[in-house]
Amino acid sequence: MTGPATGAAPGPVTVPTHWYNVVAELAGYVAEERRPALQPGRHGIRPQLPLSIYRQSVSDEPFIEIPAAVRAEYERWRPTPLVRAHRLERLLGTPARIYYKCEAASPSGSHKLNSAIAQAYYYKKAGIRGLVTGTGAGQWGTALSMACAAYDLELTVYMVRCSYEQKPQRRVLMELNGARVLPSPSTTTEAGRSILAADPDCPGSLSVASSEAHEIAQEGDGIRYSAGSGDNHVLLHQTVIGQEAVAQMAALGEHADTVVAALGAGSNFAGIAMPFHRQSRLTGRPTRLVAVEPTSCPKLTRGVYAWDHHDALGNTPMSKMYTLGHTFIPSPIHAGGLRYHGAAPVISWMYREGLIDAVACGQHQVFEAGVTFARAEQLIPAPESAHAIAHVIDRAIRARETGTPETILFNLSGHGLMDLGSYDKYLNGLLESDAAAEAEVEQALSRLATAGV
Amino acid sequence: MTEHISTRVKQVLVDILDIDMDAAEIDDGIPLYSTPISLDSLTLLRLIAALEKAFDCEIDDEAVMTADLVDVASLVELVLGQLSASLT
Repeated sequence: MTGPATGAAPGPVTVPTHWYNVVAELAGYVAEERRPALQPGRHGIRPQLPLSIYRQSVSDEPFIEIPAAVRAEYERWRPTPLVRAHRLERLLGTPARIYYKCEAASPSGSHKLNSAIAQAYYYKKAGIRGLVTGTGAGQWGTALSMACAAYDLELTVYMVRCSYEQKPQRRVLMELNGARVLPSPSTTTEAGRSILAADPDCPGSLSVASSEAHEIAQEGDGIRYSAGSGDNHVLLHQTVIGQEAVAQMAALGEHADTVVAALGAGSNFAGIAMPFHRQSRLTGRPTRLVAVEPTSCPKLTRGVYAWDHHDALGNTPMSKMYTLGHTFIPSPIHAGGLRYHGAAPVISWMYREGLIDAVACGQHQVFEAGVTFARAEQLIPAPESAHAIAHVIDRAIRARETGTPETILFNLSGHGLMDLGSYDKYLNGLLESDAAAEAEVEQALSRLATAGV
Repeated sequence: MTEHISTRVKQVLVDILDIDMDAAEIDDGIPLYSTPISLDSLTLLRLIAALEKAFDCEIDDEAVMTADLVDVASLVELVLGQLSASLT
């Protein structure tokens, strides 16, 4: 059964009224943390999360109501389209049916706005003056800058240095929304200065940017840290994606055999996958959930399951996660984003329990997939999203070779209009090989082994 | 009444943080961020959520963010303030 000629799913599917809390329904999962020896800042202990958000992150309720004001914001662009990729299917000559959930349709250009707008709402309600955060490729910083503009909150963004340099338009976009953007590591924090002292050419990583942002949040008056991925509440907010997709697929009479999404820390993957996990459990009809990570940052496929910090300097609590080590810094030659050393604790646990699968793709394969998709579907995917597309294409080709139809849904988590510099390098044969990045992964794994992890 | 609430707050603190002390031994002036309590920002929230359950109240987000939480007395103050607010 197909959709209309455009490939877009017919309505009406409405914006969900609740977020889906997978943690409440994972039998055997226990959220644990180990507390670091933390020196208090000059303001004593600073709760970084509004209590409302904390309650969400530890709730045992499977559904948590979306505040009316947040839902009204969502309705500006949601539900996002579910689109059948007819042209891609024809190009690949595959019997597979390929759908994508187009989160690129959001005003910020990616799924990140789903949590950014919710967090800004709660922080404003909690009387906070401003936020500080870290961003990798810039999608989270962009989304949060928009959300902070909407809620009249100040924002400082520490952006991974190599991305800051590779994607200057991202900085402009954030500044346009009133944010202050700094390349990380920077000289504005003790964390940044210590990293630069050890390696003046450090390209940066999301965990380093997080360390810097945490330091500012501890010292600033009326300023708090906001996370873009990994934490339970962020994954929770993103489940509007999957809930809509479940309804949209049902409206088309389709069942997703496989759901695919790229994996950084896990927000876009959890957003689309968790509602399908629930649906599988309730209906008994299985849906394979596949996380796709870069070979230059392969925490699920090659990392270890261990207690680790969320930031580079080890100032945050430790969670059990698949990790490459919190000091791991992905290669600067890696243009595809997804630069975080660890997977979200709940996703890590689900992977360990065999509830989700994971694969890794090299950046040449990723950019090739991105170009293939762009030319077929006239939509340039973010390099992060192109990781998912790379695996979808693999599956579609396998379906052609085996003659086995498969219905595949992937999350097009963002557009790539700010990533044309990376695509330019790829098109002109200037994208570096994956070999150097893989050598750094080997070094990271070796450090973990030496540390007895 | 204040003393009763203070005792209950200290009991919750001891139970939630698994502190090897009697609640009666917890002095009001004990700092929250050094031993034996050693809170960090997340365990503080865990403790406050537990206090909400214990006192069957909902503590305001802004009250938590603006409170100067430095010692046990300030935690008791936070709960007292919330309970008073819920009565008005």
